[in-house]
Parts: sequence; C-alpha cells; structure tokens
Amino acid sequence: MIVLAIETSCDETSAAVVEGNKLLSNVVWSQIKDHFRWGGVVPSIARRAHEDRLPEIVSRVLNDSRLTIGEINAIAVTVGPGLAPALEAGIEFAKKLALEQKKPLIPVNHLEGHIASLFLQRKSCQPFINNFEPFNLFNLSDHFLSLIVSGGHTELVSSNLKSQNSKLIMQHFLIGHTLDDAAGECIDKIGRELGLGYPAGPVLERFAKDGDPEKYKLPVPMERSPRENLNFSFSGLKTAAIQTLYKSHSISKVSLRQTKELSKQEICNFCASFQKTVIDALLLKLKRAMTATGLKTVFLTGGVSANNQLRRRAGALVRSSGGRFYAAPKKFSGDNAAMIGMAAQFSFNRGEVARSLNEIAAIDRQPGLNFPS
Amino acid sequence: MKVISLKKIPQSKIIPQAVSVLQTGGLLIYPTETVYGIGADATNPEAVKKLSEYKSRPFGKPYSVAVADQKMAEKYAELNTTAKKLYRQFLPGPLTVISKGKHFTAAGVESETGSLGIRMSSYPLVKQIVKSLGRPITATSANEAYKKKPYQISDILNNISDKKKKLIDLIVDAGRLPKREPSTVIDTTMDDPVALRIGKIKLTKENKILSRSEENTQNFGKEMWQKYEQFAGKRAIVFALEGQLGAGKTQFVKGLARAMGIDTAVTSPTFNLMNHYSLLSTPYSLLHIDVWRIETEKELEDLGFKKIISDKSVIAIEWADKVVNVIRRQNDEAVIIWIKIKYGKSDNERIISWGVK
Repeated sequence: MIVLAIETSCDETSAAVVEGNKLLSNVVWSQIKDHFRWGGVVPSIARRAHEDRLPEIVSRVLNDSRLTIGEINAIAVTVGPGLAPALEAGIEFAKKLALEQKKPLIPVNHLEGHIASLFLQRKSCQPFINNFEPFNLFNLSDHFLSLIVSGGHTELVSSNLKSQNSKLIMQHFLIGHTLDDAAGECIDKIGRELGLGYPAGPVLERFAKDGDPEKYKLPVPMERSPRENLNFSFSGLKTAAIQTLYKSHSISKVSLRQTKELSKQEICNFCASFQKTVIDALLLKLKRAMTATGLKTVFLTGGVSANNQLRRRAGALVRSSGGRFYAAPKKFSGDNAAMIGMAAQFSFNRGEVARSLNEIAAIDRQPGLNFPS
Repeated sequence: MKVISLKKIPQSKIIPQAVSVLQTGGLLIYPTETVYGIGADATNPEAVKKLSEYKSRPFGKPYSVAVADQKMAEKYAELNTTAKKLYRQFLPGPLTVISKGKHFTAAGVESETGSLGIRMSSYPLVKQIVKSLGRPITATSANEAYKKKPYQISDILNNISDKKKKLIDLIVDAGRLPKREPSTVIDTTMDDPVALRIGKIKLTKENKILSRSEENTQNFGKEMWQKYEQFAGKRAIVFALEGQLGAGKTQFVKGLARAMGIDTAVTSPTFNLMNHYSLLSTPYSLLHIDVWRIETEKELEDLGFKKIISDKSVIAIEWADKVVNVIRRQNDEAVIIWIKIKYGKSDNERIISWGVK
C-alpha cells in the first residue's frame, strides 16, 4: 500500500510518501527545521501557514517519489493530539484530496506515529513491504515499551503486536504520562531563562558537554513517588532549577537574563547538571516501567530522543537489565509525516479507514487524543 | 569553476581571489569549522538569486550570514541583551545567533519576519575573507537542499548536476574536514523587549493572599471559581495570569479545573498553546491557553480568541502580561480577573494578588 501522509499537528507542516515501511519521500517545512527557528510567528497558530504550504509540499513529495497522485493507494492524516486549528488545516486538506481523488482516508494518532518512526526504513535499506515482519527486524517479542519524549509529550506506552489473518495488529496502552509539563518544555523554558534563546534543547546539550553535571544539585522529580507510579512531573524541577540559580548567584525574583551575567563555565555547568536531572527523572520511571511490566524491549522516540546523553544512558539502562534498546533515527525523532505514513499501515490493519463520503466527512480533529490506559 | 587547494597555495594568495569572486556576484565554496559552506555577497541581490538557484530552496527559506566581528553584526542586525551575551561568551564558534535584521541584506537572506541568522566562524580563512570584503557573506552549507552534508569537495560535486556545477565560481579545497556537527542555532528575538512585555498590569481594588504550597495555590483557584461561577454561561470569564517561570500558574488552573468538575489531568498547554476541557453537564468549556511561545498579540487572535470569548467560555491565560491589550479589548463581553503570582520569602511561598484593571 502506498500512502500519502500529511502531518500538521503543531509547528511543522509535513508530507511524505510511504510504501509499506519504505520511505519514498518526506518533506518537513518548519520554523525549526534542522533546529532552525527564524523568529516571528509560531506557525501552528497561523493555521494559514499550514494551508498555504500544504499544496507545495504535497506536490514536492509526489515529485520526489516519482509518483502521481493517481498511483497513491490511500491518504493518511494526523487527527490528534495537537493544536486544534493546526490539526484542522491538515484534516481539511486531506479530506478534500481524498474525495477529489476517490482515495480512502486513514486517520492517524500522532503518538502512534512517534512509535512507528522506528519501523521506517530508508531508501537504501531492505524494506518489508508486503511481508511485514518487524519481529525479525527488531527481534521483537510480542510486547514492547516506548518512552515518548518531546516538547509536548512525555509518555510511557506499552504495546503489543499480534498477527491476525497475516496482518500485523498493534495495540498501545498508556501506562505513564506527565502530570504537568513535558520534559522538552521544561528544557526549553529553563534554557530560555538562561538566555539561550529558543528552542533551547540542542543548545543546552551543546553547552552541557563542557559542563560538570555534579556542580548543581537539583532534586530528581517524583523520586519518592510510590513504586507503582509511572507518571512524570517536571514543573517542580523547573521551579527548583530557577530557585537554585537565583540562590547560588544571589539574584532575587528578577528574571535572570535581564540581570546578572553568568560566566560561560557557569552556564555549561548548569546545563550539564540540569540535563542530567531531566534524564535521571526519565530513566527512573523507565526503569520502574520495565520492572512493573516485565518488558525488556524498549523504544525511545520523540523530539528529545535526539539528545545524545539520553540515548546513551537509556540504552545502557535497558541493556544492563538484559533488554533490547532501539532509538528513533534522529532524522525522524521530531514531528514528520514519514512516521504518520508508517503508522497509517498500523491503523489500516486495525480497520481504521474511511472510504465512503460519510465516513470521510466524519473524520474530525481530536486535540486531546491519547492511547487508552 | 575553479578549484584551489589550501594545501598548495598560501592563504594570503587565496583571499584576494575569493574576495574578487564575491565582489563580482559569484559563488564561493569555502571550508569552515563544521562543513563546507557556500558564500555569496549577502548584500548583492543577483548573487543571492544565483545561490537560491544552486540550493534549489523553496522561496522564503532564509540564509544565515557570516560576519567578521560583532561590529559588522551590529551593522546588519539589532543585537539585544541575550544576543550580546551569547556573542561575548560563545562566539566565534559553531553557533548561529538569530536577531532582528536591519534589512540591509538582499531579499531572501532575512526571514519572512525580518530576522537574520548570524555566524562568526572560528575558521581563520572565513574571517579573513569576510573582513577583506567588508560585507557579510552567506553561510549556508554547500550541499543542495536535502542532500548529503559536505565534509569534502567530492560530497558536493558527486551530488549535483553539471548545470549546478557551472554556477560555482571558485572552490577553496581544504581536503576532508573533521566531522563536526553543523552549527547550533539560537533564536534571541523572543527576548526582544517588545516581545517580552507589552503592558504592565496595574490592579485596582487589589486583593492579596499568601500561598504556602502548591495545594494552597490550587485551592485559591477553586475559591476564584466559587466567586465567579455566577457568571458562567452568561459571559466569558477570563483568568489572566501573570507570574515568573515556576510561580505556579498551572497550579492555579489545576485548582480551577477541579472546582469546575473537570476530572482529567490538567497539563501544561505550552506546546499546544491551547488545551480544551469540555464538561458534560454544562454548555461552556475551559480553555487553558499559554502564550509563552507566542510573540505578538495578533497570534492570540489567530488562535480564535474572539470566538472562544463569544462562546462564553471560561478561559485561563498564562503569561497574560504579553497580551494585555487583546484581553482588555474583551472588557465588554467578558469578566476579566487579573492574577499576579510572585515569589515570596521562602521557597514555597507565593504572594498572589488579584483584581480587575
């Protein structure tokens, strides 16, 4: 099945053509492309930005894949979670295209997309188009655990796979989520407070490399929560980090970037200590989730999974308990339509596909969509 | 296309050749501390047009520029406090700092919104070339858009058509460059004074309480709901929250939501900008908005603010001090309560004041 996928859940406008798990083309148009963000409008608000870009991006991915719209078997679109007006822009475009071209429309959960990003094969790799055998690909058991970490999400998901009438059926259950801020958001906010601009993740990581992670002692959030609690919380760490900065540099109640100047080394040390604490908090719950579920195969995905320290330490944790660890390719860790095209195959196998006019019309945005718990 | 090798020809002879190519609107491929870059005189529209043809970039994608020093940077962009701090501490080096441009570069170099990405290379040759030219040059990587990152000249030449090769005037070959990550980009424009704070909120009929914990702040949210519930469904109710990072604005909204009968977890709306909580028992919803990521008041309007006001929603807005005017304009249609949360003496203490403006 060849799918044209569309993703507009937040800042990125993206389209991709995916056949099975083989990626034929993918274009992401973003204010944050390659960590670039060029000031100005947050495009997710300007729903028009998505609307304006979609026709060009779609014709570009079709062109890149050397296919015509007629050769596409289905259209897939992210229906949630995300920002309502942004989602709506993609959904409306996809509906119109599906009706015009008489193609089925597949609604996709953005979070399943992040998990699916690990199944994507690039052009050069051997695809498993018809004979879908991810078991071989990952040596997967029929259950696995995913840690999704991004600017908008911090979630632990338990998934199971089964083969049914030679179709792969995948189901996901939410077993832990953030009670307040997402990990990526916490990083961005502290980074900006340090005067590192926005988004701060990649810059913070760069500075952390030259810093001493033991220099500042920050409390690991939820450390004392009961063993069975698999939820995250980052708002307390955010407050503690700010207060630690204020105290250790005798700044009171005024935004740091406006007043006292920290030295380069102090910034690096703080970045290193803070980054370490965020990762500690993530791994604490990942470890508990592995114990609680007995699952040993772990996926790491989402925008923050591009952080090298997180990848390294999560990998070490999983392997030390005899598990298998897979991180999303960095290229697909952020939001993109390639992963949506991949996830569409999973939706399709579960029978989630709209074919008739009424079924297509009924597809609606679901800003608060999540997996069942 | 001419190729000169940095290993064979002294730098002092290369610089004048490179400068002359740039002066005549040509394209120069040059080594940097990260990957090979492609340079055009950033102030020459013809040169920039030629570059866009080479890169096959969609229109509206800006180019960062390389400058020789901070003085040159200040000629082309407005450096705010955040930017100056970064220049002092981390440049020259593999960072691209984005500031508000002064529109002295050719069209297509600055972003659609007029911001300019500036680099200051720690690679001596680049600095010398830019210095001799006296103007910034583009500092984009020398590959075609979406193609392999160029660490050696063959990475470039093997991946482009002959037609594209003809667009290149001069290549300075320094052999294989060590594999370093491309430069990291920092946007400082969010910290421009105008984006930071639009209006100071002065309260009349101010009330004050002391919160000693997150629970206290949540309870205060509950009390505010009890106080203003009488307007629910009749008029929109706006809780406009101001307070520093970590002050407990989301805690307030958690308490408010619980009091309204919302039993799902209230999480931060920073990334999604707006979270929607509907209630089965009432026609109105709670909209939890966070404008931390937005920069202009217009963006709040783009979010459909007027519509949610006319829907008589209950609205909680974090960082409301950034959008004072948009909120104030709803005075006739909505009940607006301004709430300020400040840090108190001890770590957990917060002083919360509220009132109408």
